[in-house]
Amino acid sequence: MTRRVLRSPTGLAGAVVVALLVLGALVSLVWTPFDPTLVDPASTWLPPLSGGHLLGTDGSGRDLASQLLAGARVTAFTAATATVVAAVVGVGLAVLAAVPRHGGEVVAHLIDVLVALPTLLLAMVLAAVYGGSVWTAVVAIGIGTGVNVARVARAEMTSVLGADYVLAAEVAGAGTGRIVRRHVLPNVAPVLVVQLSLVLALAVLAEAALSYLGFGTPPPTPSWGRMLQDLQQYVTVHPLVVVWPGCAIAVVVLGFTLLGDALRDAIDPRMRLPGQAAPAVEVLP
Amino acid sequence: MIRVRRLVPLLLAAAVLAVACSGAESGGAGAPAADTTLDVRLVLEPTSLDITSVAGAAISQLLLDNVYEGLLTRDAGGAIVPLLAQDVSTSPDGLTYTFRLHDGLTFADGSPLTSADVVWSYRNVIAPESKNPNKADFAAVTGVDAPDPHTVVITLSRRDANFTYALTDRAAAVLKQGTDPATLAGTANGSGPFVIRSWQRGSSITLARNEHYWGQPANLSGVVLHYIPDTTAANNAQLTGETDVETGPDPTLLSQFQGPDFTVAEGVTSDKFVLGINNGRGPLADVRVRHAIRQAIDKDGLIRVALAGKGQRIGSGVAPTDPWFDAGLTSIDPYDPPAAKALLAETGFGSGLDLTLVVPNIYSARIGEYVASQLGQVGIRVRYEPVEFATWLDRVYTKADYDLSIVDHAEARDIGNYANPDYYWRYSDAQVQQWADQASTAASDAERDGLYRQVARKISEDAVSDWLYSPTSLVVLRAGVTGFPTRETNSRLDLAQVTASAAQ
Repeated sequence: MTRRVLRSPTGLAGAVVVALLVLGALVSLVWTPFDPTLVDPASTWLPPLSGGHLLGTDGSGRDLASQLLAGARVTAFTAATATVVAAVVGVGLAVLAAVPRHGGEVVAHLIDVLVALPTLLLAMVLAAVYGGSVWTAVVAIGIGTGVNVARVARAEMTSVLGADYVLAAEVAGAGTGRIVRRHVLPNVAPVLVVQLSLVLALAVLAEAALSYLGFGTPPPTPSWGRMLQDLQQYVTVHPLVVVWPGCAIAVVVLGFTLLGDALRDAIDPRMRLPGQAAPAVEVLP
Repeated sequence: MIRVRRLVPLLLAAAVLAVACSGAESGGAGAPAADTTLDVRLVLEPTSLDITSVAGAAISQLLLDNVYEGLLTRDAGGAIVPLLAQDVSTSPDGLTYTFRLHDGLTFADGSPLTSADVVWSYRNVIAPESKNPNKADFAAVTGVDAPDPHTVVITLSRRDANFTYALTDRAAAVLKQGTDPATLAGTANGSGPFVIRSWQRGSSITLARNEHYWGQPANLSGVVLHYIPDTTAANNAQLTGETDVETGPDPTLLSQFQGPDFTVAEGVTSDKFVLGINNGRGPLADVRVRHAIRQAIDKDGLIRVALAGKGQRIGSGVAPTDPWFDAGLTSIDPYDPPAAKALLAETGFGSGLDLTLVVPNIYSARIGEYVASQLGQVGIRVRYEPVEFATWLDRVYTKADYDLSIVDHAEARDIGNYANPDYYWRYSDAQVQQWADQASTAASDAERDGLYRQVARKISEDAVSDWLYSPTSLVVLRAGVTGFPTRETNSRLDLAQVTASAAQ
């Protein structure tokens, strides 16, 4: 599957971008050209490639390249952890809603209600109560996107649960837990992977938006969203500076989206064999 | 149809004639038009018009001098001058002030303003049930009396060296006797040169010239105060001519207003950005650690970074507007990171020190990030915590649960806070308390100023706080606007003298 993703040009591009993000985040743990939070009143608003500053400096004389590298850390961390939260929330709710027990319908409706709740609004409420932090952003983004995952996963699970092999397993005496583990989850895994790769892109965007609005990563931790917010007011005076965090956010979101698309193409057989009905993903083990 | 067509040029000609005549009446070409309205950008909208019970600079900025007047006021240079009173005499013991009111004083509704209104207003301030936020300004007042309709006599329990200043401030606003306090939140009947015409909540307040004004009427026929909190939006409004005047522009963005169309006027403010230090807490109780903190922060650099140079160092808890301001105090604890490191090593914190920096999130993060970064350079690891202002009030101001804090002390003449051991700095010094006490009851301004200067020097030498800067008050004016106040524009904005030629 990995080979299939990398063979498509979009998949390769996405993988490269994501690899760069992870690399940047890892490198920033041990090295940045300058201390990203070090202010220097003697070198404010330096243009790129001056005084050893690759991308120049901001109004406090902080190195923009170092801030971007350190910001990658927050972005990568938030995206990854929010996606884990989304997976847990999504799968958990989907299983509760799909498995025919009393209460399943209620959970299904609950998911529909939660889907209608905007993620940013949820994050702002959480930030207002618990204070803005990386963790509030992670939880809010995880829950907000998790319910969307749950909605898709539930539909898939319901169709799997109606399959003959599930009936056969039930007749053979398998419990609900075993059926979910052995039949349902493996069968919805491809759909989940695609969904979660899209969650990664959404999480990057949501983190940037939250930090931009002041509800995400608190200062002085560098974050792309906060950089964008801090620098955009100078767009009329120093038009170039705001380009860097803006581009970083756009490119990384695009990278995750391309990767997600390529993953879907690679996994979903319908995309590979146009015009053909989808075969059963897996037969009885 | 033909008749109508003929009528149009006729009407136009009549209109032109009318305009020309009205122009001639107001003094001919080039003179300020008598019916000009000015659009002004302000930042903070008041929540109420009730000057007697609601705190906040937005109310005094809007209402003082413009709508309500006191016995005294402050002129454009900050000097205390008579307003409703035409003169004042003081008894030799400094305990009795006698004011003679101007003749023919009136409120905006046309009714006369007499000493009875002053007595009623001021007795309300000192009444036990008074909710006036500036009640403390009148703490020494024991009696307010009116021997005749033109005379007001105020008696004090002790000398109060700041009493005439208090009479220029909002506690001294004179309201009409018998005004129902419940009506004050939405309406105002003052004696000032303007009246409140309308209030579009969340957007603007319109002032109209008070046609019954007892003194020299305002030059402008009206002023629309646009409340625009966002600096970029405010800049755009000024650049496009939506506003004629922009108060409180972002000093780092002033390059947009170069050229002949705009002037940027500068003035002083009573704002003091203070790096508060919890003097009662752990290592910060050691004066050497506090000196190290002060020496580690390059204030000139901060003024460049945060204000593009539009501010000044103050060196102590005194703003340039206060009579006892002493610019020489900036030489105490000059920027010297090696000396700061040496001091820290001497106190046993050479290997580092961990402190929290709690800052209300209403201020630009740039200030806190700058301070945290500079302290980091000498080995003080700062955990920077931006908090809501309400949280700051509770945690820092009330409970003193903090190490370092940054807040703008905007109040003028507030050095007395350093004599209060329960203030959030937790600084207690018997000498300072004695001097401040003597200063507040000093017999002359010179004696008072001398004592406050001693207090200012002592608290700077004790490194009670670090005083980051006092920002310059900035006003962007469209060409043709003159007489706009530049001093302390956040809390006082006398608009009566402003003139404006019609916008191009």
